[in-house]
Amino acid sequence: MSESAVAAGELDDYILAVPGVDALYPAGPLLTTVVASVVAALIPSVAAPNPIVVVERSGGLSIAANIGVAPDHAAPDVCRRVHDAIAEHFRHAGDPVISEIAVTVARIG
Amino acid sequence: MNAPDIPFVAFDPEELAEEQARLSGHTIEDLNDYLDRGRTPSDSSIDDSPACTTALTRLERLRAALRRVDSAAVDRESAGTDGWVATIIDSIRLETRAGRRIPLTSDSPVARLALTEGAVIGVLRTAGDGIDGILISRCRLDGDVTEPGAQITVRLEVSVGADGMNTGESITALTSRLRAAVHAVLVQQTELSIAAVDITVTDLYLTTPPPSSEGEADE
Repeated sequence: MSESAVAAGELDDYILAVPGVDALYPAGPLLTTVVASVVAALIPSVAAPNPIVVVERSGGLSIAANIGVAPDHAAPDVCRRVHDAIAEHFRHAGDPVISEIAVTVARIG
Repeated sequence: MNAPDIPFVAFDPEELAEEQARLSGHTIEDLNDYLDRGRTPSDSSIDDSPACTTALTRLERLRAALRRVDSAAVDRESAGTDGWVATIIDSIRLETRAGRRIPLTSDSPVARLALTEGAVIGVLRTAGDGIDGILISRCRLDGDVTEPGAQITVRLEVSVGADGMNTGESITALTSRLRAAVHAVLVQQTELSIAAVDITVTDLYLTTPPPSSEGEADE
């Protein structure tokens, strides 16, 4: 298993453009994310961690995103739209095998 | 207007560590101080955390409610650690947890979609606290929310202020409005099968008299 940078950077903007999404939160383990954020803040040349986790497994790519949903949108619909946006994004990025797209709504409103 | 002093109850170091883990290294007191400073300088470790954002929203709502409450009642509450203000602060600590994973349906074979329990409780609180005179003290989802189709009972404990009640309105009528608002949110924002929304009124609080009329001297 390895971390993959496959188009993960561009995914941020793609997901944030989905109607109803108003925030993107780190999907990785909390400690890892906090440490990476601190390192990025202290060392300008180090990029801040990407909030979207893309992991390459033998069965295909596994993608995870945690989102915040605006109050005037239905969270289940937004969640499904984000899943569809991720799937479409990877179709355009070479159509790799995808084993899982996990989208979690961490906050509503 | 200065924010009212919000009393805090004592808690042990293990709870503190757990709270900091949930709130990206912060405590409820840190968030309270952040509000006191007008959220400046901005702190991305707070602003980018869903748990912190939820807690900040609730602290702001509590502050707004306390501004309407009779100051003598606030003083009495602040003197103890078991009053409704302390209860609400305690519940903010507990409910900033992400909690259980509530699955959402999808036609996609690779989809794993979910709401966090914390997100659902947060939006229920927003609906409840949005009704004048209602402050949610505790909110709980009883039942196996991780199992699609399982029957869930929402249990709310609320404080009721007289300012939110229409003339002649009973507490029963006010809680009916709350139940309807909560149910509407559950239908819009979740796929849970709701068996019941149980509401217990645990406190009644008095409100500040209206501002002095024209002609009366202000300080």
